[in-house]
Amino acid sequence: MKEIYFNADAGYLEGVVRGYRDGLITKPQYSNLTQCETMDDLKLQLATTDYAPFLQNEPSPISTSTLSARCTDALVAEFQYLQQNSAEPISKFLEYITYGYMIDNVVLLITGTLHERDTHDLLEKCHPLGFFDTMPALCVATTVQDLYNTVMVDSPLAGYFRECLSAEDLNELNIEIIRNTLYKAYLEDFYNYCMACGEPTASIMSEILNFESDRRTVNITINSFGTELSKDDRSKLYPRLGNMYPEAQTRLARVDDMDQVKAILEQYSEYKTMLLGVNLNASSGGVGGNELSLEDRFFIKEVDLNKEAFEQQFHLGVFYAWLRLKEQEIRNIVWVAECISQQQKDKINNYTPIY
Amino acid sequence: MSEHRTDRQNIDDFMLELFDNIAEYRSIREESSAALRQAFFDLALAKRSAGYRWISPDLYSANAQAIATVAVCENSCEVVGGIYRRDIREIAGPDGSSSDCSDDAVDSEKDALSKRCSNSQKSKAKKKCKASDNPLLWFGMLVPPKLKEAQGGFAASLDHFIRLAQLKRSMQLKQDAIKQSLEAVDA
Repeated sequence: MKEIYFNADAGYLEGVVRGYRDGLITKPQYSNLTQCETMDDLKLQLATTDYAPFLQNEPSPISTSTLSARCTDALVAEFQYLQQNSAEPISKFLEYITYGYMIDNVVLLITGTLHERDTHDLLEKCHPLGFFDTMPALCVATTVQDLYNTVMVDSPLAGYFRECLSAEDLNELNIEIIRNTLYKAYLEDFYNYCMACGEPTASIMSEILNFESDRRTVNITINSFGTELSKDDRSKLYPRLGNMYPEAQTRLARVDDMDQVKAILEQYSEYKTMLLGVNLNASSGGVGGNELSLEDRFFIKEVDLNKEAFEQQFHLGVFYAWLRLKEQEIRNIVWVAECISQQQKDKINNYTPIY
Repeated sequence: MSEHRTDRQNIDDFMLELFDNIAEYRSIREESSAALRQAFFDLALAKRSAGYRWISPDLYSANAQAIATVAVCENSCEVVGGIYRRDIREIAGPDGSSSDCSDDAVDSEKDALSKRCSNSQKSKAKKKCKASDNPLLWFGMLVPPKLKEAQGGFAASLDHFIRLAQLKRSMQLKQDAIKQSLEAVDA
């Protein structure tokens, strides 16, 4: 029965986000982009996309970092339009999406303060979607207790700090633990919220968030090889959801190399299919025809899940799915730009196609 | 007559050495070009993996110090060798593919040049670095493996650049010597 009333509250915004989805770059457009010889050519081709208003005033030659920043501005503008025109329950759902960016901003500011960077510069580099009022005060904190008592207690992330308070000084290791612990708590909280939203949001978002959790588990495992992070600490960073929770996570917490990771993943049917033909040591694969890396496979799977979200109506998952597809599109554009600027034309087709 | 023969012989010798230097220069240049190209590509892959916001100059430390510098002879402005604040083999990659950074790596020609330099600084600090000295940690503890490979590639290229600078200097000296010898012959 909820579907009957969904359009009254959210019909307009669902229409808007589906319009945004239709503006994503298609395969023929990607084909034009990959044939560009220079960054100016690329900028000219992007003039026919939704990024045109944000790129037209950039002086030539445009750098890849500027291109990434302007494309992100386009994404932010569209997302903020949704936020400004939303009411409950969409406003709460969109707010939950911004918590991930808030965590990134908190970590950016703490890390920058540790490295004695200028506060004003750091604030300008924060993600606009993750801004909150007390964020500028983060720069004065030197311990986790200070961080919580001074700043975070009044922020939307306060509830996620419970598991971080055992850390004392803010050093590189503790900051990384804080970052992943916050994100773990956020992912679990977001998952519970989505389940409480009822069907069809619950089923669509549970599949997406379970996959996100599994991917984080694998990435944390792989990136922790050869670092000071102990195996016990590693296991504490895994989100408590996903297909790999709890059995595979217990085993992944003990592994030491990529072969062991692959052996564990192959025991799950959804990941066994994904691992077929994957070269764990491949640098990058993708449509270009080279061997696929595990990361490429994760990107492809994520795109498939987010595209599927648009197959149903009257649910909140389309907003999350659109945002992730847009981010993948920006990743693709910047990848093409990097290949053009580095004269790596043989790798230029190693992006993850969406439509 | 014998003087002319000596001058001509010197010219021949210098020419042969010059050609050897040119061949070595081209070989090292190609090698370092390929290594740098791969390192920049690895950096692009790491940015794609971790996010373009996370691996960017925004996270550089304000107290950044070079992990390696180059010793230059004050008198002759020749590049003598590299001075490493930390063991470069730690960051060269899993196969330890970096070139040896000890004094043994300096060849006889560099030894000869450095001996003529009275104030050369050939100190070497090969101590284990503290974790906070590693620039990789600016981007977090759990960085993508590709970023570590990129760092290794850039670090391993330093020895190539030092050798290229030395060869360029050597070629310049040879060219000057050939010119002088030709002038002596003409005279």
